[in-house]
Amino acid sequence: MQLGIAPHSEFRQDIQGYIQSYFTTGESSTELIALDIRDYLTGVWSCHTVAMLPANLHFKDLYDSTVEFFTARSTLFSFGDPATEETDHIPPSDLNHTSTPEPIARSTREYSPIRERLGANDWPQNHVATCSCHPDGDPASGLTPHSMRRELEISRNELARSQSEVMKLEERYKTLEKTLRDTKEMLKARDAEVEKLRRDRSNSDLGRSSQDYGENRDYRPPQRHGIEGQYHRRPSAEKRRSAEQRQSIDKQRGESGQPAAGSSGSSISGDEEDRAQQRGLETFLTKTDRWSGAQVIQAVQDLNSEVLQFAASSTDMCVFTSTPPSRKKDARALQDTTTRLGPHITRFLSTKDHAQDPLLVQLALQGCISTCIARAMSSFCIGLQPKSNDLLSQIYSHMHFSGMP
Amino acid sequence: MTVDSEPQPTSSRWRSLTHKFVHSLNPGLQDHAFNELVETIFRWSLDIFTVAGGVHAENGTSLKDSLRLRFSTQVQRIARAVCKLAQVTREEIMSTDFEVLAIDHGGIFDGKRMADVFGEYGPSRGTILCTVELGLSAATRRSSGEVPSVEKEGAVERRLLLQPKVVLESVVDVLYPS
Repeated sequence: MQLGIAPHSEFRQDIQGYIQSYFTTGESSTELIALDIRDYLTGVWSCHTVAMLPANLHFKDLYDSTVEFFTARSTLFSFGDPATEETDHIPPSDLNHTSTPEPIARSTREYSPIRERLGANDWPQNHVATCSCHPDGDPASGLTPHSMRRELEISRNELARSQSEVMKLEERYKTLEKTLRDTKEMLKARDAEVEKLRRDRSNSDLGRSSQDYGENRDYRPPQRHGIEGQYHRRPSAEKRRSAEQRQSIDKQRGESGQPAAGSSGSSISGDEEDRAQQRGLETFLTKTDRWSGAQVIQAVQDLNSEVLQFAASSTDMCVFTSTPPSRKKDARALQDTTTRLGPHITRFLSTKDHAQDPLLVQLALQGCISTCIARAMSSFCIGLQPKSNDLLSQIYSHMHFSGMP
Repeated sequence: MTVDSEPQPTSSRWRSLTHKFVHSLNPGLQDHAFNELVETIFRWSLDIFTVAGGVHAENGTSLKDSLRLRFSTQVQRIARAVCKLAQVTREEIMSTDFEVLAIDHGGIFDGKRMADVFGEYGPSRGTILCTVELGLSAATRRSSGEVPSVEKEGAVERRLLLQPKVVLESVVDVLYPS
């Protein structure tokens, strides 16, 4: 590199070249290059004139940053303490120095006031420009050594910071991805559970609908393990069953031959058999009553009120004689009523005067109709001839109760 | 040889099937039962009116004719409700055995099992005259595991769902204070 005057862009190029060589060279040569750069820079300073001052501000920045940069890296490059008191300008001849330590130090000291003065916009008039420096009319590119150095530092720091941030973000991203994967798996498992429960619930709700068959068929694996296996794979029926029913079913299955067990045969007949058996089992095992207990209670209460209404209105319609002796004696009616209602109330009916208040008659009517209904409902099958009814009732009570009549 | 009794679902199942098949074997059984019920209600009511001194209807027609004329619909409605209730409790309800209750006349009043219609009008006295409102009970066969109070296998659990309402002899005191 030749020392000498250079326009702005050339200066930049030169500095870039110096910096490049500084960094690419081996350690031993860095000091020499630093000295070269220093000499170059001092030469640059000597070119500046007052006239070029506005443009020179950029030079100043560039110069400053470059000096700072190399000062930090090489002790020989040091331009010394910027707080020195010398204010006189230095003749240009002094600026071109050899690279001996002592004069370097002196020149360094001498240059610092120049830098100061330049920072204060004060350039000595006597400074002779042996050469003309054409300022680069491009202020926007603004690269003085100082600012360049600063910018470099800043960029490096930023780079380092960005790199560490990137690493941190990478790690965070990895952990987040892992968490996301785990959460997705958990969600899948939960969905499967919910689906299963929903299917089970809808199965039990549907009751004996054909949909049951379809669903149950899906549950069953191709080969059948007999009733036992099928039984377990029918969640609809299972859900409705109580423990006692299950026991009874087990007993039943143990006693009866298991018709469907082990008969795979052709798939068609197997399916039909399955369907038939399922239907039988389901109808048998269905515990869902058509009417609820509350509905039955309501039905009985409605019946009671109907009977009351009839008794009240019919009693109102009737005209009663007041004097007992003039009443027609109907022996048969009396006898029958005694049988049905008992002697007490019959006596009251026949002896009391109901013309004014026939309430007792109404009560008697209610009583006799209630008795009639209760008797009808106590037979096994309403309307059936008594012999058959008795037999069936006996069988049922024997079966249902503990065998005691 | 004694056969052990069956668990609830089995006996219910037998009851339901038998009831259905009895009807299918006797197609006219349903109508016959219905008609018989209507007739019985009319006959018994008329007898009571006769015993109580009822002579005729307000408009002068005989009681017998008036009853049938005016109350056919009502009585038929009652009969139909009874048949329906019987069918449901026999065929449709498997979980238990429903029983419609009426207390026999001459029995002793038991406040736990029945209610005195005129109980709030005066002290309860005497025997039961008649049941004026039907009650309802449910008898369920339980296995020992289900109900803690059941000691042995196969005991029957009875529950009173609706208390029958009765009138006692004390009603006379209320209605005919001397």
